[in-house]
Amino acid sequence: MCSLCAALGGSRFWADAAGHESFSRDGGKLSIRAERQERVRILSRIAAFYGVSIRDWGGSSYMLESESGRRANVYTLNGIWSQLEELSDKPCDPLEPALLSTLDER
Amino acid sequence: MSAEPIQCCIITGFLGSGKTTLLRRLLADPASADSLVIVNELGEVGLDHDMIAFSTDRTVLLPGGCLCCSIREDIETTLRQIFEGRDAGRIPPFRKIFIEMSGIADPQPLLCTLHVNPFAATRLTSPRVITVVDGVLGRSTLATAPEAARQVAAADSIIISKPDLEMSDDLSEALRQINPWAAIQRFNLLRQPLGDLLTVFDSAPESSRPELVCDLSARDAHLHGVRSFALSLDESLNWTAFGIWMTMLLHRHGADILRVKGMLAIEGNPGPVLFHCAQHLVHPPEHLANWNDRQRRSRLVFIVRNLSPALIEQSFRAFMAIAAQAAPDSGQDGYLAAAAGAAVAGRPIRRPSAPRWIKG
Repeated sequence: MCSLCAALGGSRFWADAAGHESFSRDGGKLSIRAERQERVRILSRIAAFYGVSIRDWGGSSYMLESESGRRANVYTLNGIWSQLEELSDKPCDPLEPALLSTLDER
Repeated sequence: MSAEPIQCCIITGFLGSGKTTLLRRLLADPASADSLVIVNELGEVGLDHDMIAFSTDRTVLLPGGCLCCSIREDIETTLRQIFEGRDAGRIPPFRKIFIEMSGIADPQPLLCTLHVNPFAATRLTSPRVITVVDGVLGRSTLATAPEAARQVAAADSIIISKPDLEMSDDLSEALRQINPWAAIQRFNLLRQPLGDLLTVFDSAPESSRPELVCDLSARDAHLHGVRSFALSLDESLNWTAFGIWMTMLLHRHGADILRVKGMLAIEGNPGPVLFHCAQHLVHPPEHLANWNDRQRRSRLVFIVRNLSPALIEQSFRAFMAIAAQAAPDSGQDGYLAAAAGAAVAGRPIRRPSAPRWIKG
């Protein structure tokens, strides 16, 4: 339950695998820390194209920081894209050819 | 109050396709005797509502608007009134709900509302969508009305009405191009015995899982930019990378990703993971125990509008490839401690020490 709005349940995001019986890593359950670490690793590669760095902020949110030092704290994977657009002043489009060629180069 | 969720079926189809006729046939059958009907009509005066009232006294009208326009609060209000009326004895008990949509409505926002609204999600089963397509005019309607294509894209089952008058030979193929997994059947709504149609509630939407029906070749022909295509990948997917890619794709193009269904081979998972989304709405992934006799490989079927399948595939593979690459050696794992002793942008994080009056 959300302690602020008292909303019951429904807080699990569809992409969250940590703690789920069916998602395993090395034979055991995937830990929240490991999942967030993996997420940050992949997100960093994408965010670098927009000139933004991403780090896991205390295991509860994601800290986005632009090259100019502007920062934003985001709590969900879904919320990262709009903040990334705001910090970089570019639309975040996974189909953008420039992004894809940058990813391919690496 | 009954705790068991009520079965829900949405009947959609373009103007004049035969939705009301189908509904009246279904309601006239004893198997649907305990059904309630919600009718949505665009005009201020509901005519369909009066026609259906001949078949059942449990009819609720949502006039003066189109259910497709947005996530609608009035559907929740209507459902609340219905369930309160039933619990108070004003409405006879019912086990099923039919929702007949207006002929120009896109079913997707209604589906989204029924899935995300807590009241609807707890009181109703996952809705099943039946789209009625006019056997005579269907082909030309698909070519001229974008709403008709969206109704077909949302369908779990498609009924081609007026098959005795049907003139367009390529209608089924056109429907397949838009929706590769829906079951299609020709049905004379006036004369043919209902038979299998009475099982509309019995089979869950999962019965039309992608591996059962879709063919994995890209489909070039498309209507109003709506097209379907399939991606497949032999290697196991990194679920984290898939989640990142899909959230980014839906963030930017969610309105044009009409539906995605997938059976995914995920690293570390012995069985497949079923993925299903419609526009911005993603259903919780479903895990199956094993692959049985199917080949272990990921398959994703898309229905999109005005998006390039080649670009989506390139993007999908690029994101999966970066997941497979080793992390750059940056000397840090991307973790930033949010505690005293750490620093953000060179500034130390401090916690206030206890005041003297507490320390004593």
